Amino acid sequence: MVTTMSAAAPARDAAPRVPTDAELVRRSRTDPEAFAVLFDRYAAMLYRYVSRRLGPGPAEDVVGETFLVAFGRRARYDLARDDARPWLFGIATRLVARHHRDEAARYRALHRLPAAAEAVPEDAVDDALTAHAARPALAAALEDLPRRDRDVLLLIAWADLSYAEAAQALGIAVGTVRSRLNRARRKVRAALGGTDPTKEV
Amino acid sequence: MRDDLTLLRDLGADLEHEPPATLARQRHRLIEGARPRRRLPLLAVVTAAFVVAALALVPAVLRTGNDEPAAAPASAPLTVLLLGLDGGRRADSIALARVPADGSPAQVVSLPRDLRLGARPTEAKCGTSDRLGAVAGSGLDCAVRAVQLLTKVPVDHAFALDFRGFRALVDSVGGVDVTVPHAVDDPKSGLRLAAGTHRLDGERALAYARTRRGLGDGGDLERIERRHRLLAALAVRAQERAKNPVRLARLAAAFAGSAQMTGGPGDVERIANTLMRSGPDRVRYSTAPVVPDGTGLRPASGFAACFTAFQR
Repeated sequence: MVTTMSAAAPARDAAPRVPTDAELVRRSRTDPEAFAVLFDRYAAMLYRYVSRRLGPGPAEDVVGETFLVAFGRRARYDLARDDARPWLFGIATRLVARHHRDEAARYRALHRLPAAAEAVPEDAVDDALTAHAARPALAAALEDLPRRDRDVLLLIAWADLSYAEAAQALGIAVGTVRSRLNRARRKVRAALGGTDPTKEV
Repeated sequence: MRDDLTLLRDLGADLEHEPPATLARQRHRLIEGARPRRRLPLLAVVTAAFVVAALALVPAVLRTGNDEPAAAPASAPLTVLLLGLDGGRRADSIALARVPADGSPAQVVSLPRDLRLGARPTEAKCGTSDRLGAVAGSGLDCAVRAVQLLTKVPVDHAFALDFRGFRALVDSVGGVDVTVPHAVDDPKSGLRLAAGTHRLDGERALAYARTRRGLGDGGDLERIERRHRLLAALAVRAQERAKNPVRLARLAAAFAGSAQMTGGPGDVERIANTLMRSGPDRVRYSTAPVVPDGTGLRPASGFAACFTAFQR
């Protein structure tokens, strides 16, 4: 669909046209170096997402691995998809799963940390107070979520993917994204309300 | 209280780290290759050197740059015939490789080129010789036919590398390292080298392979050994290149243009992917047992047993 798009929008061709992700993937099949442009485009974005889940150390490695895996699969990329983000976030998410211990430890550290003991300015706005106070409960909820539900929730909340993009990333139906997201959010809300029935302590 | 997603986003923002400068190392890993990965063992057995070169290179033949979908690993074991061709119409090295689909180690059985064929392909293009090397050098289909008649093993794919291909390959891996014990000046082959270790480009590597003067005793056997050392050096360089996917893909393009193979690039990629599943360093090598027969060789007892694992 790349060709029809550029033909339909000749005005944009006046300026040097920025290639779509799909074009870069296609080009990388004959000119492997073209794949580096995708790295330049998305490595930082992926790093931020993975660093939230795993911390800075593993994030660097996971991002590198994500691009190696993607490069190896570039022949199978669906060129009709101009935006490679769902593809890359999907690969990264599967690689994050291999570090589930790192991730669990990260959330555990958060909810065990006496967040309330940290000095919060007296005049802080209520919202900030609420957000800060909610951290241990949120972290505990994230740790307790089944991986599938957590992947959906965090692709949407932390990677800013749409429902459709999250569905693409995980290779599931949009309806499944919705149901997993709803389930995950119910548990998160229960944890925030302090009445999480699934929590065993 | 604020929306749960908003609170979650705030938490995410708190947990987030900015990409460090060292993230560039990951780009490097993709493009330049800085990644320690499995290495091929250096083989002492010179006759296996070609096979090593071939097996190191098979994974390199990933794509030739067309848009056909990538081949999935095979679901059944593959039998691949590997040929090293000398300058004329003769196969110098002949080996059958069994690449299992389940990730178990690949098996390679070498066949001496002087094996006499009891039954031989009858096509005129396959020549009149009854020596395996001569028949196999007449073309890939002659080679496949001859080996099938000899071993009763169905061959899925065959692939051959000649000296021209060798030269192109040496260039595509950025040269090979050889060591000469003393200065060499051979006007006939054009080889001029000071004593010591040199990185040779394709042209000079070929001269090194061909020279009969100035190195060793000038005999054929010495020359064959030297070629095997070259192939081993090529395998090492190819393996170094194989450490990063972009260079690997470039090497693949060069290789696809210089090797003969049955089937298309998709088939080769399938072999490569299947082989990568078991790992190129997990290969078992052997030579089919033979006994002298006049000026040639013939299968010894145990010959057929060598290939039982190859039968479907």
